[in-house]
Amino acid sequence: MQAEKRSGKTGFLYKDNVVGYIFAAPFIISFLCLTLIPMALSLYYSFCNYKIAAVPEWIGVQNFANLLRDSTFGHSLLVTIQYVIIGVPLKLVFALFVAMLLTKPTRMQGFYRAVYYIPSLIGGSVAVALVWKQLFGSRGPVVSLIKSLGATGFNFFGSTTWAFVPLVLCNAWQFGSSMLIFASGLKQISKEYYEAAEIDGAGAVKRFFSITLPILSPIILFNLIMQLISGFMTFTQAQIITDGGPNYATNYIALNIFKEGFAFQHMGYACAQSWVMLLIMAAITGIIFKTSSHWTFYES
Amino acid sequence: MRKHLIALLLVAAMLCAMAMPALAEKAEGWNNVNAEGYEYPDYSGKTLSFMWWGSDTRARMTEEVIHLWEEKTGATVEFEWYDGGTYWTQFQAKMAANDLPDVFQMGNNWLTYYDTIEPLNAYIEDGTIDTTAISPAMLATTINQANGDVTGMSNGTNARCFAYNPALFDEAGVAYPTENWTWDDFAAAGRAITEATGNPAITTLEYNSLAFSTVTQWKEGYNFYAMDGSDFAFEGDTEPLAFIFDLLTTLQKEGVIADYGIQNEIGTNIEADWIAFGDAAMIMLSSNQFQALSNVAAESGITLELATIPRVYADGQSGMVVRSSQEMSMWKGSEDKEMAANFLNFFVNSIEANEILNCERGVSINSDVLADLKANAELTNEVTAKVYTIIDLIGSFPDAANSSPAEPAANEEISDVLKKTYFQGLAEGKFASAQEAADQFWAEAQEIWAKY
Amino acid sequence: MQRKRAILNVVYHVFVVAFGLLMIYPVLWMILSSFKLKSEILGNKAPFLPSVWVFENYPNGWQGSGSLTFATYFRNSIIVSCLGTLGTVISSAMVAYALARVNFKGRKFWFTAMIMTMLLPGQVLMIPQYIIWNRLGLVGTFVPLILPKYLGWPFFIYMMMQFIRGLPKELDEAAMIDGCNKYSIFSRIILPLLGPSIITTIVISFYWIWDDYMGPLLYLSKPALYTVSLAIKGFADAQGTNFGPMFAMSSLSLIPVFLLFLFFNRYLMDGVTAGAVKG
Repeated sequence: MQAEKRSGKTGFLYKDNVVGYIFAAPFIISFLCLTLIPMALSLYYSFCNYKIAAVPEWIGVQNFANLLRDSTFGHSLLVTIQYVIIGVPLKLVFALFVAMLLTKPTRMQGFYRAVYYIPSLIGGSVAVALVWKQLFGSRGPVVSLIKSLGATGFNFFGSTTWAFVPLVLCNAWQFGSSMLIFASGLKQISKEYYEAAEIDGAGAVKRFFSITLPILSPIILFNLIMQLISGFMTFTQAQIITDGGPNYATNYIALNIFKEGFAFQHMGYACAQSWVMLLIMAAITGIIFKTSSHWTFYES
Repeated sequence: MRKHLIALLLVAAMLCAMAMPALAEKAEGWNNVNAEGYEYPDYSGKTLSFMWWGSDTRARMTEEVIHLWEEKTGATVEFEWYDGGTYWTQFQAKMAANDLPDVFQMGNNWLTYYDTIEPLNAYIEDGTIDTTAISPAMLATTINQANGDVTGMSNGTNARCFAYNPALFDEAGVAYPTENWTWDDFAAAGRAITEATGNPAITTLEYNSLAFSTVTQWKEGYNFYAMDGSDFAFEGDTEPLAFIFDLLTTLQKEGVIADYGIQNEIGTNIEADWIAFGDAAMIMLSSNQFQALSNVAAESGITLELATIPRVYADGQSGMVVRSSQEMSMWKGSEDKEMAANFLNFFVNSIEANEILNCERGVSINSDVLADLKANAELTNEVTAKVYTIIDLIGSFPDAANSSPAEPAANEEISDVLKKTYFQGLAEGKFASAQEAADQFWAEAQEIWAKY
Repeated sequence: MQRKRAILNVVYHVFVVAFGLLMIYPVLWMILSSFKLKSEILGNKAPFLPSVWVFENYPNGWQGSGSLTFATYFRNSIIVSCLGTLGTVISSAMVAYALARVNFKGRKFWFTAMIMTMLLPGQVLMIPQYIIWNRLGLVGTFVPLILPKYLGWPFFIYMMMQFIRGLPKELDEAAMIDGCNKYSIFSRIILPLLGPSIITTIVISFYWIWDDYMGPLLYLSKPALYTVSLAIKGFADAQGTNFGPMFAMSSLSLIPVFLLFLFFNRYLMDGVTAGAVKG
């Protein structure tokens, strides 16, 4: 036994099942100890009338029944979906565009990339909230521009139709981490592919569609899934810039959940909302994973 | 409501009377932290935990007071502080784990956290907390009217009121607000100023509290919430709500009140209000925000004044109230409540401590402390003097103790809906009339109430 | 041809710079605001440059709450971010390797579980997680902020998985023939080739930990342990916010994350040369 182990590939420690669990152990430990119990509790609470610090009281599917009649929740779902549909593609295309733009090897490349990355470093800070309110405020440059085009009485933060625009733009503006991930994906593409393509006489556009996109597709899938998730969970910017208003126009689902759970003391109801949201997101990511086999290209 | 007030005064009087026998055994004023012979207990080796919210300015002052108490008693204070917005999130986490600090800062939302709070009645009765320099009305700002529990010691009072820029009133040639000006005066002044300046005269308004004030002003005996926070108290009369909906929406349509776009830009950031830059003439605020607002305005050479909330009838109810801005409460699970009570006593009553705190949280409820601060020219500037004046004025109105000191647990949700669905919905034309909005709001408020 | 290329070059630089200025405007705004009076930060006619340069915002902000200065907060943030980033990189690479390359029973299940953990809003997990750390007696220490990072961070696990899947499997097979086992394939083949994504993980996770506010808010409980992000929030209050000092400290807080980015960005550059417009 001892000799076998030393010899390499056949010992207990070298079986795929063992290797897999050894390498995956950190996640499995954290899942079992730190995530599973809170997740299970939140599922349990979703069937309870639960105020923090009080004993949860089992009420069956009452919370879910209430959800069906809750127009605020329905509205939150709608505006969140609107945010995701508009915001996520915008951010991804933008991030990929900039990542491509900044791969051009010039002496300024490092400097340029730094400039484009810095905005993502000021996160959801008070400064962002203030500057965004000034930029898109009723006396700010953006509104002045729109007014000069003839729209009188226009403003962003008082309009249920347009209040989401500054938020979507703020999200797209902080594209730094997506850009970095795209950039490192681009770096991984072997130059030989491009050289071969060039010899074949393929132009820049053709090279992009026939080489860059397919090889980058696993990274695109990753960024798409992650941005979808964070889009559905969007919270900070709506909280600090519009506080969910006006008239609930930016009351995104995570904001609504936070308000129900912490401000209104309906933690059980908040958990029910979270699980409905989880199911919706699981369905969407599931569909994307299923279809992804048709458009993602893995080396293996 | 009057009956409640009288009952309340009786409770307070009884508390004082019950403290008498204890006092009789000891020398007069033995528990007066400001008296010559006051002896601090020795808490060497003991630890007290304490938590509050506020800015870094408040943190510096509070820390200084903590060190003062540590020096005098030998205790160690473990403290933590957070910004006001997220304080409650981590408070609720601590509450869920049943592991709160011995003493914590509390707001008017104490009914929501009632189970965590140790009533202070026993410590007031035995004199550990000295209330001889605190008037019954001030003590009542933190008393639960349903059962007489003292939920905490107020570390300062404030009142919702209006700040205005007299220069713009002069420019438009309208009279300054008086102590019993009416909504008609308010609308007339606003219109005149907007006409003169071309800007909205009024920017920030606290919609929910304005609606509640209007209910109180409408008819004697009316209040939005009952004194003990157990119910509504306006007989379902939606007329006052329709009145204020209509007034504010009309003024907004005329451009006298800033549209919601501008209001949302300012948000809760009072220092960014247009009034601080000479563009708006009137805003609503809490009196303890006035100092910060005045400081910004002063940078542009603007001096602001304070005024009362306009009334429905000049000779009617004021609808205003002096309330506790922040109170210090004791945790039910605290292991050394006696020590916590001593700290509370020091924090609220000590002149030495309050010369450091200088009413930053709100106007002190201790008359000795207040007299000392007012007499000290270094601690009382022009701006704080205005705050003291308005608080005294509002406190002198007959109905000033008329409103519930507690916000019912449902208040947070009702207020949210009131502002976002009804006020903002009405402005968007989602309701046929103000009356319709008022009726629908009343129906929804009752539904929300039933959930708690 | 030569001329056309030169013109294209100029167009490229003008475009990137102009667009970059637009990108960076809010950051410049914040840094300039850290030298302004409050009325010039907030006013709706606020000038872009300060009319009076208020340098005192920096010492005033640095002073913090009195007994503790930002020196303490920066030290804490650096400890938490460095240790957390180290843990993230090691554990996420390991788990990613297992999920992407090792064919073990339950692999699909654990992958699904990992994605699921990301689908529940943090707001409803906060309280139960706090109770767990409280029971363990670890509230009031850095442990709840650092330890979980050593147990894999789903975002980076999944990211590295995607990069590993992009590596040809023949590499593994060739290494097997050369006598490598599953462990040495990880250390000798996969890890070196993961270079760019590890760098990306370092840069992004360091910043996310640095910027995290909810974790420190819930778990630190002692001003001596506060991080920069938590302390900066302390400047804000409904009764008045010290904007100048706040922006001063916010600007300082950009420096470590920015330096880290500059240092590591070198390794992410000179990527595809032929991919974009040729220079």
